[in-house]
Amino acid sequence: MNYEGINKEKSMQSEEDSTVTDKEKSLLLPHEFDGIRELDNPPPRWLMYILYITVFFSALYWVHYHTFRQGPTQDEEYLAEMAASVAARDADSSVVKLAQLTDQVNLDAGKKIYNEKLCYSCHGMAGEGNAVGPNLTDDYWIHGSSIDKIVEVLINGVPAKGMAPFKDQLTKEQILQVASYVLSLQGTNPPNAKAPQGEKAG
Amino acid sequence: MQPEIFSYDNKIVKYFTYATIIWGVVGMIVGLLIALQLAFPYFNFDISFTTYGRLRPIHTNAVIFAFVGNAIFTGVYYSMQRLLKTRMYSDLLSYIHFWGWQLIIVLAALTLALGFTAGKEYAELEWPVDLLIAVVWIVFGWNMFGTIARRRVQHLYVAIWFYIASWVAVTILHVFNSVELPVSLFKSYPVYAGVQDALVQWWYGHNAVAFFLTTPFLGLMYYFLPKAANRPIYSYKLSIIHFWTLIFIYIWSGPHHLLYQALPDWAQTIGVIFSVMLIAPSWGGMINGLLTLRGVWDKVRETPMLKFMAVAVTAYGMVTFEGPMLAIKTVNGLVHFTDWIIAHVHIGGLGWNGFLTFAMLYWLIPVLWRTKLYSNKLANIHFWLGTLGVLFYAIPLYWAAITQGLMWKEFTPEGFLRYPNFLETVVQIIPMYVTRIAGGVLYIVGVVLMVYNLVKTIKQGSFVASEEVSAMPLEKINRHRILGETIHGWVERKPVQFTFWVAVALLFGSIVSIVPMFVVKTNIPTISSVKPYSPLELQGRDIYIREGCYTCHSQMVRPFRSETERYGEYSKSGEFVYDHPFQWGSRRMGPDLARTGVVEGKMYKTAAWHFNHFYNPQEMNAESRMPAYPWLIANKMNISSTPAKINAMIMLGVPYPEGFAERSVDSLMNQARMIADDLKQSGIEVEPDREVIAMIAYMHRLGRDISEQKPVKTGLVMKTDVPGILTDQESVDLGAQLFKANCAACHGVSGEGNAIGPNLTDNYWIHGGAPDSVYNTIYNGVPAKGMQAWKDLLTKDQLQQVFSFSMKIKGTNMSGGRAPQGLEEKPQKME
Repeated sequence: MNYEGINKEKSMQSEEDSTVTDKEKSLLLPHEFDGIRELDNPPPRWLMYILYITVFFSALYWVHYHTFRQGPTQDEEYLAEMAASVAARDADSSVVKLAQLTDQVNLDAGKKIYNEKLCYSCHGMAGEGNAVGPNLTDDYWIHGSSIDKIVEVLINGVPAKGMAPFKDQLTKEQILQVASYVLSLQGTNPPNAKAPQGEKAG
Repeated sequence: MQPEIFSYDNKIVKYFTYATIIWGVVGMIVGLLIALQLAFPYFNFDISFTTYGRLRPIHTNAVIFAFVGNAIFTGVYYSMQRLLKTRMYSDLLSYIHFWGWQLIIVLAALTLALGFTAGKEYAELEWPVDLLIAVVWIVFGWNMFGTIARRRVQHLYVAIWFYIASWVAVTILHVFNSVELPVSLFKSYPVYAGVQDALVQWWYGHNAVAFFLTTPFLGLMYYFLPKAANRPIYSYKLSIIHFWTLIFIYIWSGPHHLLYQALPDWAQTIGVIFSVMLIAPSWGGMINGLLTLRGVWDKVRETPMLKFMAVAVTAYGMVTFEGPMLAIKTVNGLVHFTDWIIAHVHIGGLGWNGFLTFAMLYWLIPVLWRTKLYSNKLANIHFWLGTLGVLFYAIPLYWAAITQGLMWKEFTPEGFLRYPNFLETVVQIIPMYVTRIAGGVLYIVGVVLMVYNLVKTIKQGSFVASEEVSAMPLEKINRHRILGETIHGWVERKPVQFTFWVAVALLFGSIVSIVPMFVVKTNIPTISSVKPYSPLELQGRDIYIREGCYTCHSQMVRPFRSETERYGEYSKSGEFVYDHPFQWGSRRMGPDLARTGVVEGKMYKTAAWHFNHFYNPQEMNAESRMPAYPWLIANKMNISSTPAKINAMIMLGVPYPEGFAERSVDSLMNQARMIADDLKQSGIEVEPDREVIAMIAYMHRLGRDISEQKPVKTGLVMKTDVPGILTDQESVDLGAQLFKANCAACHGVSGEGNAIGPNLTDNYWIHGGAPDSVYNTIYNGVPAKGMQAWKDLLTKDQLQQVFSFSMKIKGTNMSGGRAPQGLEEKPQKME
């Protein structure tokens, strides 16, 4: 028996129902599966080109990065990114005078930062303190009551106690604004204030 | 030869059809619920069983394995009998398969809701269910190959090739990804850890997409599309080429889920290039489908079934173009961990799998019940609702993804992260989440219309459980190749050989891409400071897994400035060697947690903060989308299994000291009491045996090991080590000479500074006064401010000498020096 002979299963597809064009009839392959026929068209050439191009690209990619090690590794990419980003804040050599700000514009700016940076989640909406953070409105202070001590806490934080450092988030001026805002809360006696902690300001 | 009379089993097809419809509706409604939860946390209902972390795996498992799974079996059981001209090999096996699979689905829903999970995406089910899946899958395979063996058709049609490949691949994937060591009936640890676990998991995860959501559906397409369109398949040759290239290439591309993560570069490259090479093989299926419709597009317009099919195939083409694009590292760096991936899989899930299933049902049910579809009009409405649903679902998420991805990376001109508070980037995309819900609703309304339409169709028709047919018996022909027969034509009539070559194609890529990660030690450089988890931390980790925290939080800091600025040092492969299973995550609804234990770090929060946050996240962050976990505070830890867990870890190679299992409960309680005491100081009274204590311990452990190495800003120094500080007179003198010659112009002869450069003798430093910072400044310079990079102008020895001199004059506070600039260095930080 030859190859044609093993494909003699008859099409169950009724001829008048078929949408096969005359041109396609010559391309019909002899086999048939539950009425499904197949044409002997070649794969579209553009699709094969995509295959060849992607295979070629992939080979180049491998050779470039791993055979000749021309491309950067992921660690090198990171080092390059860090080296290229001599951040403006590192270059910021301005000296901000460490003195409490009292004008409304700066205090409003400080309040805005207090809310934006979610200070309230630990110190309360009015600075009254909560289970996490101390009351900022009484005159007891754990890390000092002067503007420079507060600025220092804001800059470096007190990580072990949950106070985050803000040196990577706020400029010196902004830190001074929020510190001044905090000092402006002194003696406001908000409701639900947390009991005093630390030492009484001298 | 006489034709043989036999019958097709339509009843099993009917069963799977019903299961497809029922589970489809269920899975999609759960999907809608979790979409609501992301927009409105209220929908977590404060009940453990209904939190996002538990429902999200139920949604994914339900739509993948219940909806799509049953749809596959519907189509396979219908088409295989007809393509092979025989009844299924065994009715008994068919029904064991059916009921077994439904049992698995019910067990999956129950166990996942209860928090019994392996914590690996799309492979969450615990070991007893894994075993059951293996048994039922073998039953299906037995039935399938039995049917193939009894066929009355010489050659296997392309649909059958895809069914075989799917079965073989899923068997391999499921077995190798589920090798786990049971601790109790519903808890196990995978034998793989960290990077290896990640690689195996995404080899599995990616290929579950390939061989569960794609290849079986290509098989269905190759049957139902030409049947419904009454057209011959466009190109048999294309079928061959795209079948073999697809299954060969697909299996390699899993690592594209781990780009820019703690995976060796070579493995990432494999993920990239094999994904790129997948475009043409994937499109082969789409092209063959669409070109088969050539000449009958007028019919497509009129026939809802063909419309669904055409959109399904087009969606497949879109997804398989998008996939390789997402696998390009630059693109991936922006959109990984964002909603782009969610949109991508839903174009696949809703567009390709959903629409193809609907097409199949609209065609199959009238055929099985020997009637016409109840209403073409309703089906058309379904088509438009579904199409709009997909668009309303995906487009907002693409938008959300780009928005959030860019926000994560944006810096201010001052060099700060523009959005250092992660939550801001979430709040920004909530409107897109609401729109996405609308898309989901449209899609589900369409499905409900379909169910109504199909029920009406079933009611008006008459079902034939056993369909009598006749066919000629299979002629025995030469085993060997016959003259004029192509090699492929020959293999097509040799199922065993065919299956063998499929297995070879699948195993080759699997072995080459995975085995080196296990046998080549240098792939995972050891970090000596990384130690096993304490029993309490392990307990916390298991709770983290139970609650599905990984569905919203990653533990993988990628090596980008925007990530190290936000989270801390980027993740290294050696950190994860005791992580059974790995918990790197794939989506950041919340921030990365890999560095929450680094006390000096950016992510550290106190025990009290964590306690309050678990109890009520919205109290800490009003806009947070995190569910509340009050039961962590109410529930006592289950410490009865702790010794068994430690022993299991020891068996997996985690180096706990000898006899540690017996002491583990004591160790656990000691650590727990310390945390409870810490909380008490913040005014929080809680028993030390509560689950929240373990969670806090785990949060405080993450990243701590590696932080203790104190690699201070090494990232800044390019490819050089900071040399030691020389103190011998000769070197210091040489340094002084070099300083005078090169540096004095800007920093003064004694380093006191002048109008150009800062004072180097005080304790204020603009770029850091620590030795490595100073060396880095000398070495790389600060070109923006006029400080030259000296690395190419001085020899290595000279660099060391001038560096040593600089360190010597530091703190000498020369009189007449320039006023301080920069930050004061705290004395304790001097090293």
